[in-house]
Amino acid sequence: MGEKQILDDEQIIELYWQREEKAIEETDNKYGELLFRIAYNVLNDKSDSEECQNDTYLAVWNAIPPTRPRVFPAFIVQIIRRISIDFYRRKNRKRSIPSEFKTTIDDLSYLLHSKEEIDAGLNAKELGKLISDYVKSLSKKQQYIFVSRFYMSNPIEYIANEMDVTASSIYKSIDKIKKGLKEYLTKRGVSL
Amino acid sequence: MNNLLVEAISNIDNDIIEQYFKTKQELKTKRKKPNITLSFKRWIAIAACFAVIFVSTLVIIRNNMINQGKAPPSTNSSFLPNTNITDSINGEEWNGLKVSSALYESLLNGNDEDSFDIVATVSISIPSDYLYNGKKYSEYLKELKEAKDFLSKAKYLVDEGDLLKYGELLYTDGTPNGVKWTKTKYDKVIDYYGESILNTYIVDGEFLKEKLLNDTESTKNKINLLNLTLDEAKNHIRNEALEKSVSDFEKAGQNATIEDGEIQMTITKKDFSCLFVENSEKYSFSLYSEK
Repeated sequence: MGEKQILDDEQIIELYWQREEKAIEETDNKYGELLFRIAYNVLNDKSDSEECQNDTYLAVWNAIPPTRPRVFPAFIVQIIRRISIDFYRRKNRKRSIPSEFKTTIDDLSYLLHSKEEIDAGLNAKELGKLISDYVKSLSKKQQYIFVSRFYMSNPIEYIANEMDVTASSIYKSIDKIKKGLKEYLTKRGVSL
Repeated sequence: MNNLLVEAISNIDNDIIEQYFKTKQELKTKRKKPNITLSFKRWIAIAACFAVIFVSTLVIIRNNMINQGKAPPSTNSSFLPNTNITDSINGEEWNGLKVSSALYESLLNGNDEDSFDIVATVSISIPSDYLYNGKKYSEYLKELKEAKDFLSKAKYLVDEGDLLKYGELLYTDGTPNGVKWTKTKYDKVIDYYGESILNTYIVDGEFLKEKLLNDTESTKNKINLLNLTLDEAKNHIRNEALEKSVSDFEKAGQNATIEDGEIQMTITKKDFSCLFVENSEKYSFSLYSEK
């Protein structure tokens, strides 16, 4: 019995373009675990995460065609993140859900201080652009850590394991990145 | 939770996320690649260690024979590296010290007299009972958590206080302006805020909105202050730990300095292979150039 063959991203995208339902199966086969983890990082609940995963497959099916993503995993991750956060908001309306996602956002919020201070004259797109510019100024390794922690909401130990380094070095890098971000935003009149 | 920040992070440029996946792939490939050259080099290193031990033993025996019955050989046998062969095989360790892959490679390929600029990263744990300005670190954390909890509840209470002041009417008859909740919802909301907050801001059927807004402001200031204090405490603990580390390295016969919150030193391969520093498990060493 041979191992199940993993298709290239281009082949998977082609399946979507051909409207082959196998596209979803192949996406699940290759990226199911990644997608589940991202949803789980946000929701901290197995069945909710699975629900988001299924919604994501449907959303990808509806989006391709006409979209032809340049980097397929980046594309699907953006979708599941969006779906999971919407789900989180609905669930979290009255009660706080403890999850890695909440921890990472709180971590940055307290760095940036109160919501109102950031709100002054800035919208999410502008702040996103500033954060992007800052992240692009970082080394490749730091960029990886930033995205893994603050976009994917991965736990520190997971990132350390992925990068084959100690958790303490990841903590240290995150601390450095946050301080840098604070300084960057402060210089541009955001934050303090 | 800060929705603006959530949205801002969601809006970061696509190419950053794409780059993440490229790096992820590189990391994966790096981990998967059977590093035959490295394994070979490691075996060479092990063989070299045995050779050093063998030659050193011969030298000791020869010296003993020459010195026949004279004073015992000097304990300053620095030519005998304290290299733990088993650890080296496991990788990421040299002489029982955690090292980065790049440093490991450099040591492996370097000569005994080659000098390396090394950064020692200290893993510092903060004892919860650490006293700073007369208060335990854990107490500051507890206060911070309480303040943050209050802030997140206050944000909702500002809007809901004018309904909650009607108490049980909310699910029995409904409010004068026609709002009626189910009992389940009412119980959930009451449970969310807790008695303490509700009793403070809803008094005799009145919602004390001004007081809530004032307290929210002062809690924000308190959070800022607590964060500053915690940062100061962390720096204090870190500086103490770094100074202790420098002294530990000096005791081990190695000069070290504190630069940018890290321990830096210049050390030969030979000395690094014999370095025995107290609490060595809390350090991880890397090349300065990796920074």
